[in-house]
Amino acid sequence: MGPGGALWLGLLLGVLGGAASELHSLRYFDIAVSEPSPGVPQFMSVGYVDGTLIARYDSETGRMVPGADWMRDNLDQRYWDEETQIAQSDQQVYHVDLDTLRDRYNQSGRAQTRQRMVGCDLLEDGSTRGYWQDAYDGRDFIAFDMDTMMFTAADAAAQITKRKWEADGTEAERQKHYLQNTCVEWLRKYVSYGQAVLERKERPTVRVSGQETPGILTLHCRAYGFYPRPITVSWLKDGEVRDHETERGSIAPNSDGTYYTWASITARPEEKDKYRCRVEHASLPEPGLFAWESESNLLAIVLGVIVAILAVIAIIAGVVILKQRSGKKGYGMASSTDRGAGSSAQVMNA
Amino acid sequence: MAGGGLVLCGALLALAAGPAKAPAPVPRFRRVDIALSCSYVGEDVRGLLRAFGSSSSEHPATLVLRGISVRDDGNLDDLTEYKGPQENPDSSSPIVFEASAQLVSIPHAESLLHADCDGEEVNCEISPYSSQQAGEGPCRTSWFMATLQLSSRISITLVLRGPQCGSQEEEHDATLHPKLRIPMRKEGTVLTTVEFQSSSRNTSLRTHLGGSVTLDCRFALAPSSSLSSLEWRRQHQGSGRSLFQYQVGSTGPTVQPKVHVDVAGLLRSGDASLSLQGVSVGDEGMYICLVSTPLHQAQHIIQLHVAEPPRVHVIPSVVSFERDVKTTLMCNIAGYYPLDVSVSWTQKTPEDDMEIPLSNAHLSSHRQSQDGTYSITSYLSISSDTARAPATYNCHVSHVTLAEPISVSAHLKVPEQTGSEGLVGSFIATVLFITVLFVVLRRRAAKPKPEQLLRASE
Repeated sequence: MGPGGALWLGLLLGVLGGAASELHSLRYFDIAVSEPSPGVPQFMSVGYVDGTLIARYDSETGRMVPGADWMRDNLDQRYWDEETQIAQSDQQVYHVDLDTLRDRYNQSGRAQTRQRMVGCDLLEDGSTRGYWQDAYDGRDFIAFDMDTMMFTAADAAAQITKRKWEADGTEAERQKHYLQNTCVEWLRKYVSYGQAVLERKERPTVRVSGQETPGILTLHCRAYGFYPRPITVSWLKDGEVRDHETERGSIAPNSDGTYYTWASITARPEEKDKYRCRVEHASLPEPGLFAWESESNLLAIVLGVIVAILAVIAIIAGVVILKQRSGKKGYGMASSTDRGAGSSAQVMNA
Repeated sequence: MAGGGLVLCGALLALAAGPAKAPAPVPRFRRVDIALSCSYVGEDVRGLLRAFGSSSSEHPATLVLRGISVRDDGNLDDLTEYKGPQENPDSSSPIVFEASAQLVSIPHAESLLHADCDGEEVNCEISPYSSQQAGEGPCRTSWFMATLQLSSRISITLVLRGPQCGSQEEEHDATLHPKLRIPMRKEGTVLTTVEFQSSSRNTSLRTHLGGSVTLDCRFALAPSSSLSSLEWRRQHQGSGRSLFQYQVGSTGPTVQPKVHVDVAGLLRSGDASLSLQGVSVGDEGMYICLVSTPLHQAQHIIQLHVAEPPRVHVIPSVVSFERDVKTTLMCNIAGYYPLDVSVSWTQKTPEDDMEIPLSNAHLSSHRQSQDGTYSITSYLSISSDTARAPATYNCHVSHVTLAEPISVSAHLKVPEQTGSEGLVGSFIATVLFITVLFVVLRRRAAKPKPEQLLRASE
């Protein structure tokens, strides 16, 4: 599983977070593995603001290091030393947890993982939200609900932890204090340091393509290289949104900090001019509308022109034949209308 | 041992092999003891504070449910009395918990009683339950929680009150259990009373999109206790939310859309079941039924899985090579949930007896629809070099919802003269073109000849 697990959880939460009017978010993802291997350290901790990496720690380097230039430029050595200490102590705790849980689940011989996602959101209306989720072996273990001050135990083993933490009383207070105060204060600081980067806007590049098989046309609309993450890509037919027929990919990150996504719809080939892809993004003052300008049309145009020329020649020939054999009028007429209809259909396709 | 008996499975099995069920016109009820093998999960307080708990210690234990009322269908004659441990326990011998169910009846008692004979596994775990009030005063009441998970997906939670402590002197006289350090009976067992039980009949459910389900959760309390709140939560892949919350004495429950709990039934008979309507992909997850009394909490986790089978189409369904060297068959797999499907292609010609697996297919990326279901397309390239008509190409799709894979076929036909419309068109066009050429050439060749012109003007 390794860091992929943490990243996956991050993406998932990004999706969930995107639904509300969230202004900024801070998330830490921790992952410990029982059996480290090359490239998969025993413990990793990564921090993100709005999906941008701000800091990372792994047990191989043993140090918390900046993940963005604006973090390095704005925070002194004392900060990184303190963060390193926290991560090192977490590494010990996670190590003990993995042993505890392996015993509790009677597991042996297989590698286990222990993950945590903790963080807070700053909402547009000034309010905040907090998240504290623990997972074991890729499954939910225990979660903290800040509003009720209760823990949700996701299985029988977690109930023992829940009872212990709730009887103790200080654990809930500690987590709530972190989520409500510490986390939000630091999020505000980080956002002020990285404002130029975090609040930048990059326009999506949009490409529409079509894939035609007899009777079915699949239209794809791809948006690349945009920032921030929230985006709406929809297919419209005659100006109406067709969400029920639209299929989508996830909003996935690029290595340069931008995102990409796509949406597709199937259509009847003859109706393809009725479809438009609409892209709504913070970087665009107005939603962008895009139509399919197919490359294969070029071929169709060439073919259409050739057929049209042939048809014209055929008409001339028909006329000539008609003139030659004035007696056989009917045959000539029928021939010319047939070709005429054929050529006009070709032109419409082009 | 007062009026109880322990059912031995061998005896019951022997009986079950004889006359299946003795006809009993009036069902009789009988009190029996049920002994379950458990493990006691205590705590060794040595872990770090922020860890998930201190490292736990496991110890063998036996839970003896005393005087449980079960329906007697005539098979319960062969009862063996449960005998306590033969010798005084030391710190390594199993801890025997005797639980009296006089205040609260034990749910699913028949399933527990016949578990062994039905080949059912019972996972039983007992752990200390320290409620906040339990530690007050010099005389501590110890509490325990027993959780029973049956392989038939029944889940039972029992909150056990430990030995009642009397006056200081009595407690001083009482023998303490060597492991638990609480008073025990002369027989070496720890006597407890079931004060609170809750159960769920089915902890794993599967439903299709748009369906309705009822998530079973029930409880019963000793008269001295009362319900303080019921909460249903949904937890799924790192996110959780409250679906239903009811505080006894408050004006009304807080309910999310699509869910329903019968509050009257809850207060009257302890039926905390949640019904969910119009199930969507987003409803999948763990449903947690959390029943609270002023002192304790018991919960049941019910897994809800959404499953929708795929629709499979192969396009085109009939193909012929004509002059193409290569053609592509598309197997469209749509509307399924959960994500994983496996797709394979086979080829069959009249000469072959067997279907030949093909490996040159490739897959599109996953697409997700608005209703949360997925779709994917598998493309199979067939070329005239390798494929000989007639042949049948089958797209096989396996999914968790399907007992048998779905197979949809495309037929490769021997090319016929009546090709596609385009071919007809170009054929006509060619014929006309040749005709025109012919006419023009003939006219050009004939031009100098005056009789030709003459004929045209006729």
